[in-house]
Amino acid sequence: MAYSIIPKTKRDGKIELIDGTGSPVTLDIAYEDGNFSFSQPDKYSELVIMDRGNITTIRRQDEQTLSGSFSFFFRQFTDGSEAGSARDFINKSGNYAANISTGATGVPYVEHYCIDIKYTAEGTDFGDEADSTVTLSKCICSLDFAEGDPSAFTLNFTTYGGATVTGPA
Amino acid sequence: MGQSVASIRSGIAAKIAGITGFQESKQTPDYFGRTQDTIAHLGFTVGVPSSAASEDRQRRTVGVYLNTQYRVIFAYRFRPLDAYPTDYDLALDKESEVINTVLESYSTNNQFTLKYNGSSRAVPDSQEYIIITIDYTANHTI
Repeated sequence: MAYSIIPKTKRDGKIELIDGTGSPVTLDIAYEDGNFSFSQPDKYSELVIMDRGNITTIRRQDEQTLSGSFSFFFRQFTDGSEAGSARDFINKSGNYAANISTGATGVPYVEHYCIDIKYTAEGTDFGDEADSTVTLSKCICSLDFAEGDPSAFTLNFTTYGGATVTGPA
Repeated sequence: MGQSVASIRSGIAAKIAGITGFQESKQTPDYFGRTQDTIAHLGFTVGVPSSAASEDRQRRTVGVYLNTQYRVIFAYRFRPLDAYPTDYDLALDKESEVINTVLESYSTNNQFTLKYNGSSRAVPDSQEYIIITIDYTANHTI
């Protein structure tokens, strides 16, 4: 099928948090800016070797992580019985206290509690063969809170399990 | 989850109508004060001059997150011999009462937040009334 001719916008996006349970517990992020971002550097950092100012050799160095962030509006901090709190989801607390880390199995092993984050850009509604997705595995998350109109959280994450992308074949 | 522009407007109007003496005008907000009939002591109107989209994805499952401007306009009659300063100050006290009353919590249809933006006051040449305009912003989802 032809390469998609539809640039995607924030109206097409969806962010989903996923835990490591067999049938994963998931949470769709709602009430958000639509500013999901992530950066994926080359797998290895570069060691640039110079010979009196001239680049002579580039060697692979350490494996690098992915990182990213997105914001969403503050509605409540926690809830012990109702689904919906991203803060609870990334902290394994409240309604999500029984969640299982995605970093407990596989490589690399992650001792911290971590989750997968999946971003989906709608495509089939516009004639694409499939939606485009990226799943960022084994993300350790932190949360910033800022009061304002409206008050908002910013979720920052570092991904240790890499990114898996899917889309039209 | 969400709350319509109209239901917030009517909620604000109900709050003001609950203040002793206030009655909602039959004239549209844009014409309040332009004709003699619309001007009555403690007559008021609640208009909705504009709405603007806030930054969000506007997903259909969530709705559209808006900030909507609400404008409360009311008239306070000046008695001929007490227009200033007695009635002028009484009108300002009424304004304070309206500002605070509108910002109180709403028991139903309360899925919005409201913020006071400012007031403006105008006395016509006849000096019979002062017309006070109070602006608010509501954040809500439709």
